[in-house]
Amino acid sequence: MTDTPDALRLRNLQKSFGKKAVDGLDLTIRPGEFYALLGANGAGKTTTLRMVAGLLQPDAGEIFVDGIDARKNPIEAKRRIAWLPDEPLLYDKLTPLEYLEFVAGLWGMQAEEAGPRAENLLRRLNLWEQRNQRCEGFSRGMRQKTVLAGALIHAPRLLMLDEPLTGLDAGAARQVKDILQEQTRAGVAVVLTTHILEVAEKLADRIGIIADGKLIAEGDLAHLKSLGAAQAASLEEVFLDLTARGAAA
Amino acid sequence: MSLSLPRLLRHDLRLSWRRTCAFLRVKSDLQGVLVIAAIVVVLHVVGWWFATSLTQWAQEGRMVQLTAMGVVIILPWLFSQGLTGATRALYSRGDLDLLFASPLPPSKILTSRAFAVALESFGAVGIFLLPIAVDAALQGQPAWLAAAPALAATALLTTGLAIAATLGLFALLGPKRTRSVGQVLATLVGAWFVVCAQIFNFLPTDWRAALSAQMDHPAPGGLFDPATPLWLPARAAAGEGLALALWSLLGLGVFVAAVALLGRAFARGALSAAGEAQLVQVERRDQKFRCDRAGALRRKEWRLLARDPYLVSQVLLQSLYTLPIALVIWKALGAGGIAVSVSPALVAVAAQISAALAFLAASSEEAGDFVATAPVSPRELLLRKLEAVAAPVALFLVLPLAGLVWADAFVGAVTIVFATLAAASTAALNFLKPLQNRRGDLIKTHAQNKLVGLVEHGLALCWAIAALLACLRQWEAALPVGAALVLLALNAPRKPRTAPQPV
Repeated sequence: MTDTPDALRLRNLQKSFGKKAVDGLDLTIRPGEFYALLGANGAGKTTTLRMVAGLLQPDAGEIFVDGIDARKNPIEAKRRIAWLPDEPLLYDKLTPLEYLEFVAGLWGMQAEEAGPRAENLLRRLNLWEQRNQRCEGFSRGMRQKTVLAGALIHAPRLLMLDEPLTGLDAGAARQVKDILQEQTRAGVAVVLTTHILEVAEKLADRIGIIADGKLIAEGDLAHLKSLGAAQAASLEEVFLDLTARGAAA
Repeated sequence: MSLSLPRLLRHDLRLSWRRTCAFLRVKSDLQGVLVIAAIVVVLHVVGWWFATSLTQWAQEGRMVQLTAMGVVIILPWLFSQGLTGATRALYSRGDLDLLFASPLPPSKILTSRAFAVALESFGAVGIFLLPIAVDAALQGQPAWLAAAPALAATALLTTGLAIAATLGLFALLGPKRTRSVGQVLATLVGAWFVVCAQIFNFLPTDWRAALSAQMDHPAPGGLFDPATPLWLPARAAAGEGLALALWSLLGLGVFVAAVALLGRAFARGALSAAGEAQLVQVERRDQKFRCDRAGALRRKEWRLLARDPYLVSQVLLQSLYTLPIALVIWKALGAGGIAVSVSPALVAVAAQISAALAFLAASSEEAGDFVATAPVSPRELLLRKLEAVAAPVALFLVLPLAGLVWADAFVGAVTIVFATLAAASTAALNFLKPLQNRRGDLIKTHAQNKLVGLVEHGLALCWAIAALLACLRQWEAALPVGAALVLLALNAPRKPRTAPQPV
């Protein structure tokens, strides 16, 4: 048994916007684990990620990132987190290289380390040729890749991605999936929300299904299939079955 | 069969109306109509006194001279509106892709869009001008009603010219630069309206007397002879039938010629403007990767500002609008008070520029959520943003302040103190009361929150008056200082904002 802390540990996390968006959520994600968080629209996935990223104050509960209490020591927790929202947040008038320089500065990286990492990431994501071009003319896919490079440049321990494959072509989506798998092999925990269930099915070590702010099922694909209807053959069928049962309950 | 021109026009006018409603921040068409009706009623009431003065001057036989002054002011104003509208028509994608993909001829699309631009220009100027004309007519001088058709003809003329100018810029500079140059040009031409509105008052007395004499007894065929073609719009606005008919024909002719001849150029321009977004600008950048946190935050703000010439022009133009303050005080104090008269203007400029830059840094953060996930405390973020705002303000004011210190050390020192206080207070206001808006909407921020706009102007005014009184060594300077502090205190947050907060 090792002393390595969990990459993310949520205990009794609660958030309400009039009605409960996240309702006593417990979640543990280990380092190097690829975790897919699934749920219908409005189930509480994005609210959960935004609370972990420090963008929303929870009403109650605990958030530990890499063993650090994120509510008591948010700055230290943020050092270990990268968050990719579903809509890429970029500065149109900056170039990808300038954007990465800005991100590296925000995370307090050393220039000697950040420069080569930026080059490596931009080359890897096929953005090196566009490194000195302003982002204003970029396609959604290029913007998404630039933001991903920004998320990875400071070597986070916990990478949270909200619908990261939206707008990417097949080649770019494959690149991103490869990079995410590399990250997990390097010990980074990846939490991903997606509506493309095939992605979760193929990439995730564990899958959590959230409905009405509660985790209604969790486990690997085989386990989830065992929870679904007898004839459930795919994650899609399991997901639809479990969320329908959750809604009925 | 493709869409008829009237139906296309109806579509464009509907879009114009929705833009107007958005500007007025009303949610329904009925609310929009009611707000505009209320504005028109108020302007009729406010304009009554002005109309009385106009009718008195007109009775002294000066009507054409009055309308000539109006034309000098209104022509650039309308041209500026036309340039803004033409640039928007070329660059805002909206439904243009749909229209160009349809079997509509480009000239029909341009005609409809240009007519909407002309109507918007007419409305923007007419809402202020026509109530005065109606008031003057109600006071017994119906000739002033000719201002309406004259204004309509002028709007058509300036829209035609603005479209030609925009497409000319397009051919000369290409799609990338035309947008910025067009917007800056429109703002500069619009600023001429402010300068024109004041310039006559600020001329030395003997110059004004000479000009009045020239206008009262113009040399035949000279610049001030109302019989020359140059005075055609003034005579049209004064209600001379033939002049009005000729001016209307000219306006309509220029408009029709522009849309008929430039339809294809407009289509080509709009299509290449669409491609412009794909033509990303390549910059040389061989510098070393720099990662210091404070520098990264400051550099980001400066880069975003420096790469938006339209924003820079908007910010700097605010300083142009404060020039009349200096001129009024200079005239009041006499020629000996130049240093003292410049002081409040510089203080007001510091307040305005600082407010604009603080808005850009505080309220129009393009990736606010992303920055909030960074391991940086909100206090440090605020501090760096303030630094980023302070440096350009200081850079802009350093030379005039140095000149002022050289001219009068006491006045210079007082000005530095009050300019710093003014800049700090308007920046603080924008950080305390952030308005969520896009960077490009800088000039709309005061329309979005009129209270913040009023407080901002109030602060600038308080500090400027305080600087003037302090320069004159009057103890009463303490009063506007107190007023500014009260304004700031009233706007201080009483509890943390309820917007999403970083943990």
